[in-house]
Amino acid sequence: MTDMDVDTPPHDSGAAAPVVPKPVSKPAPKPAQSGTATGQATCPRIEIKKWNAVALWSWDMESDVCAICRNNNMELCIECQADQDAKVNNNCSIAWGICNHAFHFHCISRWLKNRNSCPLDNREWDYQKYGN
Amino acid sequence: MSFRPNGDQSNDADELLSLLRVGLTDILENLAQCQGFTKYMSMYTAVYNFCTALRSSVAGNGYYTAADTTSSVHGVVYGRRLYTFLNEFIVQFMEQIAERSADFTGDDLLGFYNSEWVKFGDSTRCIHHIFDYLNRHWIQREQEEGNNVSDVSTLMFHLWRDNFFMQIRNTLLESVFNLMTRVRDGQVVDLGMVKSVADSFVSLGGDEVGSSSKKMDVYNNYFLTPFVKATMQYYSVESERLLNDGTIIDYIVRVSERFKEEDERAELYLHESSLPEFKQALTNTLIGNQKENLRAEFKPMLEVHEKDNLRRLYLLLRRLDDKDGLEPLRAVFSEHVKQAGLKAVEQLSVTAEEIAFPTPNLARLFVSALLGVHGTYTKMLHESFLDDPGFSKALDHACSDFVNFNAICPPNENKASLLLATYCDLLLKKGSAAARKAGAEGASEDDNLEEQLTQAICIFRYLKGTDVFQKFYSKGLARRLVYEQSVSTHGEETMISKLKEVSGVEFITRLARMFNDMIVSKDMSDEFKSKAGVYGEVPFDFDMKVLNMVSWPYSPPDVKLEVPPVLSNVCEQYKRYLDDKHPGRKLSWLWNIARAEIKLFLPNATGPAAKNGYIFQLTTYQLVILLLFSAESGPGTGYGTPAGPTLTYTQLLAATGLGEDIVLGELEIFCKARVLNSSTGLGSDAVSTSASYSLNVDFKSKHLRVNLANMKKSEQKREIKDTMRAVDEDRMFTIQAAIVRIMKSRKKLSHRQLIEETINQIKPFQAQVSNIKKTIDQLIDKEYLERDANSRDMYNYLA
Repeated sequence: MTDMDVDTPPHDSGAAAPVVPKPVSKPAPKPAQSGTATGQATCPRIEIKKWNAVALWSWDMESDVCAICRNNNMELCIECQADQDAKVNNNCSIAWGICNHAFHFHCISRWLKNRNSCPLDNREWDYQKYGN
Repeated sequence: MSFRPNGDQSNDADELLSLLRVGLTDILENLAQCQGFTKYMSMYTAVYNFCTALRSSVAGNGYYTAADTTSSVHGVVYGRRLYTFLNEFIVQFMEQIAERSADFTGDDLLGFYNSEWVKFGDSTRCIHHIFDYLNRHWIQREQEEGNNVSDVSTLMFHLWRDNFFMQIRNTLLESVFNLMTRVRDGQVVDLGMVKSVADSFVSLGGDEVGSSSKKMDVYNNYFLTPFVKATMQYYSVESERLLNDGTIIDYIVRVSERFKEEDERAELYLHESSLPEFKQALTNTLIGNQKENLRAEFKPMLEVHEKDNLRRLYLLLRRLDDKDGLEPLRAVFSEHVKQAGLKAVEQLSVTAEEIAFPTPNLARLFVSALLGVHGTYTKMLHESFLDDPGFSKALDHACSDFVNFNAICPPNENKASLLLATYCDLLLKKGSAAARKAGAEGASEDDNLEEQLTQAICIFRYLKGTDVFQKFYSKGLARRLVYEQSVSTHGEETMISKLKEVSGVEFITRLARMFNDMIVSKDMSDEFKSKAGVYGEVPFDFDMKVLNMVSWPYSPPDVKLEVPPVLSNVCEQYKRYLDDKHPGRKLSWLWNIARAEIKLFLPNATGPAAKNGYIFQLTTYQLVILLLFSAESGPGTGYGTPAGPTLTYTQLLAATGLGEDIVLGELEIFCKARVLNSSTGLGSDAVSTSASYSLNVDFKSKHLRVNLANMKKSEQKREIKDTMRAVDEDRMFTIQAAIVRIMKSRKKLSHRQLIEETINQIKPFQAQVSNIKKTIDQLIDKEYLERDANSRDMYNYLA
């Protein structure tokens, strides 16, 4: 079941300032247009006015959790979680090593104080990039 | 020290005494006219002389015997003689007063007593000073030696007490009682007389040797006790008369006035130490004996909301012990409020369907019913029970009962949480008529909203199962943010901060983060647009919301979609932008959450639609399906004709890549809205897997704008079910975590203790015993726990 929402008829701007009609079909479109934006269509035509897209983002890594603190990558590391008020939380992000393994930056930097290797594959650690 | 006669003063003991006798008589009878320095000094000197007159000067006058050889012994003798003299003199004087008092009765006696008392008091002070030397020397020494001797003023008050007061006290009290009866009967009388009599009783108990409690003996024994008794007598008569003559309500009204009068009066004439005893006696007489009758009136009063009488009754019963007075009332109050709440909900006309899947309208009715009852009794609490903490607690107790469990909300379903969250969504969603309508006249929209949010929080405080509320609230908030439907950012923030106040930071952390994502997304959308030169133009208005995976109540769809290039190009462009901006992020597109607006131009359209086309609001799935019908070519037939192509169900399925459920669902919407025509007819026949579809080129709509993207009822239902299921899952994890935590610290616990502690530890919802048991079994399977080998009832923690 669908509700038909009622709005005022548009003072159309689309027709006055038309976007160049784009090929909108799924198979490779041909430029043969069956109508123009300003005139009566000769065959049915759809023009996309607006698309409000939505996507979820997460860190691009193999596991959802940080192998050191076991918290979700998208959440604060376990230390920051325990101390919610601290301002450092803002910088609680993810860091990748050259081995492509990633951890909470706070977690891996604590680990690196003891030994300079990746906790997962034991290769020497070097930062590849930081999440922000 | 040798005695030196002072001026023409005689130093003969008898002469000194007669001088004192005359002086004392003057002072006692007419103090005002006999005060003068000379006179005072001469008497003072006489006392001094008498006490110090030793040896030669007074020897042989009979006050000195050969045996008295030391000055201290002489002092003793003279001191005692002077003391005895004073004592006898005052006794005589008191006898005279007593004689004179016999002429008076009633108020006159009170008047006489009071004026004599005042005079005597002044005289006593004066005489006390004249006999200062005696006080300081002989009397002090005697007291130090433990002899029963009082200083002069105490002595005089004692003599007043023993030789006058004790004789007339009964008559005196009768006069007091007589006067009090007249006051209580409504006559105007000088209460000052009672006060001074009472004060004199207090003074008479002064400075007895011994503990200070004895100080009030005279007052307590001879005044207070009879006074209280007389009062009780008066009022037990009145109480009986009132009950015979009128209703118990009349009694309550009258007695309340009585208490007010008596309380005010008692302050005027009773000694403060005796107020509690007096009031207690009054309470016992007027209330204590009637408490059952009085309490029985409470319920009928409640039913008709007699706020004044309720207040009177409250104030009366408050005077009793809590157990006798208010405690039973509070229980009645609580039950009454609960019933009122249940009734208010029961009276809502709702269908079973609405109860199963509540509509926003039901939510509004439900919440306003709850608020109505809560408001009524909060007002009563304030007006009639003066915000008594006990009653306040009783109200809260009743509210949390009827808010959570009622005709609409069966136990264990947390429906109240769902309804309240729906109501909040209604308040905060743009264009919801209810929010505007319910507002008070004249209040600005913002104030109004704030007020309504405060009321919502008021109900929130009573919710059991706030985790359910949180889940649904977050669903609503997500929708409002993603579709930019919030009535105001201020309103949203207000609500979040109110929730934080009640439930703490943790409760709102995720909700708060959602706002941040909105701001960041907006900035990034703008930047992306401005960098069209780098990442490419977008052929339509494009807005992108990028949401943190864990903060939002969305999960990546497990749906395959053949994304048409027109969209996938944009997605790729944006992803390139994002990789540059925030490397290391991946995106999961929420196709079905995204919304598109399209124009549909039809060859047969007439009027404005012919020129401007119809505007449709669509989900991305709908967009992808509809685009197939405006394509230049594809799997179907009839491309490039005025009627557009025709596609079979199977072709649609293959071209979109979507599942059957989704395609069938969307086709149903299109056919119902007459956007697509089906080869198998209209109505319920339209959608079938064997049909083929084409655009309805004759599509007509009164409105140029058509929204097909609204959530379908079936989806709403599914969302409610899914959310409830998600809550149940979360709860099982919470229970599991709680049990492990408890067992880790306790190592060994009995079944009963473990269940108890688990229930106590879990805050946002009431854990059910059956779920706890289930979880314990799971934990045993997972080898976190084991049953004790010796006692089946015990659990051990396995590290």
